[in-house]
Amino acid sequence: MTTNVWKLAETIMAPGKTEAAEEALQRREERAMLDRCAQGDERAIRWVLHRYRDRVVRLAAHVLHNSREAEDVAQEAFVKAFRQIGQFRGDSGFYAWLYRIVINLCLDRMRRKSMTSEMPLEENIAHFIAVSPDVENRLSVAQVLDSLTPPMRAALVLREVEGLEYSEIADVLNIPVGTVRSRLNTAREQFRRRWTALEEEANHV
Amino acid sequence: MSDRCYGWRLLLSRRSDGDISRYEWEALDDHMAGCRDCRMAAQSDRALHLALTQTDFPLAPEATRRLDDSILSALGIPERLTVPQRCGRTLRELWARWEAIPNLYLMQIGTGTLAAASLTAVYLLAALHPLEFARPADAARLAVVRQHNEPPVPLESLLDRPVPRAASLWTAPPRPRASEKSSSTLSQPAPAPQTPALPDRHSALPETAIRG
Repeated sequence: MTTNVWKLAETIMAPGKTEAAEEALQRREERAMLDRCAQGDERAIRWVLHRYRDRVVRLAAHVLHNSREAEDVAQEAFVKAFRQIGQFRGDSGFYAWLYRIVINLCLDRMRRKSMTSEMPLEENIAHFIAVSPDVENRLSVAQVLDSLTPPMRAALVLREVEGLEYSEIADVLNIPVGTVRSRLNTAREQFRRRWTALEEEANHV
Repeated sequence: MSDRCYGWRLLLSRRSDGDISRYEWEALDDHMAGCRDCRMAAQSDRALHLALTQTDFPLAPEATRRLDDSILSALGIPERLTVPQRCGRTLRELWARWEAIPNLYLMQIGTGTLAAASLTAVYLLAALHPLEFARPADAARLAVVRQHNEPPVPLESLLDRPVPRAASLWTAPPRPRASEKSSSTLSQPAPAPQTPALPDRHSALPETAIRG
């Protein structure tokens, strides 16, 4: 609340401040907090957690299709990030660096075990179904999404949910921009084929 | 889904990302008007977008706390027992919900302190530099005092008040001590107490005023 009041006061005092300047200010503030995190400052760590916790859990949940596992991955990712925060050079945004850790952990986890074999599909996609009254449609969408490979799903989630640009996705996934474009296209193409097939099947029944 | 439309579907994918020119957009629209497969593909893209964006994974407050605590303990940072945390869950929730109120009070106290400090500074400055802060009439009077090195009003006028007793006390001679008093009373009678020669206000007034 106090921070909001200060921000309001700053806006009143300097109404001509551009968005870029605001962004630069935020980046500097974040950089200062990350430096404090590197020194083990608890308040700074809590600040970073508060800022990125929900986004990290959501990203992991979308990639893994499982909210409980997403919490585990988020915990693992934050611990890893705080332990290796000295290695963060600040060339890209902190979120890109953090997302990279999250995605890698998700992919590792999915590589280690087959998600579909370990957990029944209904449990995996229960959350997807619960939020929509259009159960059948959502079920088919979730089934199709589940059939995509994790790297493709990661690219899709980063683009559709997180709204990252191609270059930012490339940064997170550590792949060229052209590969991001083709991966997104392939993911959508696969989704289209399976979704169309399911729709036609449903219409015949 | 036919392969002859692959190029159009590439454009469709780029359209989903906003990576398409206006010309390409219009061309795609024209093509989709006559192609059922591409219309289905566009519908599929919308379903995918909705499925991904409308699904949220909100963390419950308890899960959030558990996650934070587990991360902090994994990092070797002991859980800090702040006052709200010590007071139990209910108070902690109350604190989280009504945190704005104490902050507002603190702001009010801060503003009040600032205002008081400003007023004090103004009064101190006024006391140190009376001429700058005096009213015009006072300033003129002070200027007269400085010029003539004498009080702005004659001292006699101070006695010309509707309190005659105060005036008599002001001008009365000191009373003799008890020993002096006893010796003097034997020899001669005590003199009558001197009353000050106060100016008669009626006599001081001009005659026209008395008549009127």
